[in-house]
Amino acid sequence: MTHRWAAALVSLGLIVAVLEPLVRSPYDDGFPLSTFPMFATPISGKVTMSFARGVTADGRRRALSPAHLGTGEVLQASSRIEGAVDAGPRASLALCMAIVPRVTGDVALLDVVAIELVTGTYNAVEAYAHGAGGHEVTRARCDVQRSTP
Amino acid sequence: MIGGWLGRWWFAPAPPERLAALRIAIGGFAVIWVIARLPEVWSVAHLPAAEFAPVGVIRVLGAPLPASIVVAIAVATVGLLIAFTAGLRFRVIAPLAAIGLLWTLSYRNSWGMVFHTENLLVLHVLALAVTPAADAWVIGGGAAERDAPAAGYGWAIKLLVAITGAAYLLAGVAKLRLAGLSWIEGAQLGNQIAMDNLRKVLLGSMTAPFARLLVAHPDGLIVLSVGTLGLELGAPLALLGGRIARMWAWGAWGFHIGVILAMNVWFPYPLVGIAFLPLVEAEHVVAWPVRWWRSRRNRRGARPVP
Repeated sequence: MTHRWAAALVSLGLIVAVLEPLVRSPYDDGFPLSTFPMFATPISGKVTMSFARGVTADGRRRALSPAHLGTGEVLQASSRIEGAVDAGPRASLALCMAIVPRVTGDVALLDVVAIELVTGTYNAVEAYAHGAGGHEVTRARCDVQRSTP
Repeated sequence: MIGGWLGRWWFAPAPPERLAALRIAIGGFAVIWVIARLPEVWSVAHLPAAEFAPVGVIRVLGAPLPASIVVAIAVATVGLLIAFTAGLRFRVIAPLAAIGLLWTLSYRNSWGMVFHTENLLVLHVLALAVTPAADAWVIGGGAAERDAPAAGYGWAIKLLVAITGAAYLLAGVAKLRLAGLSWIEGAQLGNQIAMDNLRKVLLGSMTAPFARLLVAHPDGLIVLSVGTLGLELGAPLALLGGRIARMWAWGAWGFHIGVILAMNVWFPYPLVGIAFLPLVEAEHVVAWPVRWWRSRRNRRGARPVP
């Protein structure tokens, strides 16, 4: 890389490549050439999202962490659940069953007797800022079996 | 581009140490990043094949690779990136390290969720790999004796700045394309903050410290929205260099702090400042810890023997 023309060509090529997402649909994200749609996609106050939770014998609900979904990333966990729910009851149940061993091995969740995959529709601002409830549908439920000592 | 004022500006001279400092800082960050992501690479390598959604270069694959191969590539990438950072056999190793990084992080993003925390790092390493970034400060091998390239080193640094500016510009343009100017009214940002934190609550993750305050008092969101869009669309100003570039870098850094406070979303590459190093005299920044270490060692050596 000693000549100016070569440096200019490399520079131009890389800059054009990085700006290429401008001619793509903003929803057509990629890596590393991204349209950066995060935080840009318009959303109404009403949001629908799926998640997994633990349920105790007396019906209390316990939050599960991304680690129970086999990842350290909350967005990856969310993507896994949304994908399974979109794929239908069989995929939802399969994911539910895949969560069970990780919950069984978690001493902080010894009181959890079942896992539920839930799709909830909320007013995001009301639900987050004021704890308002939403409309929830259980997509899959599976029992947590523990061996007795 | 080569002749005229544009050529003179693009090819304005810069010391080889500045580009070498960027190689060390960006390469060093890439090494730490890939090592830190190894557990996540291992995790995604074990996800069911049905969840495989290849992006970028990973689209050449019809199915996921065996987990052992995925991890082996990632570990080899760490080794290549260490050599990249040191500047060893740069013309051969740097492109391989860049391809390894591109592959490893693209694979990690190929499971239904594209993360936006790694794009700029990959693009910077790819760009550095085709520049004469190892003409100075080669660690452990000594820089090869060669004449300075006719194109100099300044263009390579400007290229890194242009890539940084383009990434932020794209984020701003995306907001205008998807939401239009209504994005600056604040309601969109409020909904985004509420949705993101609600998701974290439901998925058992930590929420942001100021999220509830911001969502409950939306007036301030207009200022944050205008500031965010102005900063992103104004990113090409960083190419002007000097005080304007430094001011923009501080603004962008502050924006990322704001994203943590509002959404608990971390962008480590810009947060530690390395994404903005091409905007400053990087050789002084990178040399500072070395000078500090040497002076500390010299002081110890100069201590009188009791």
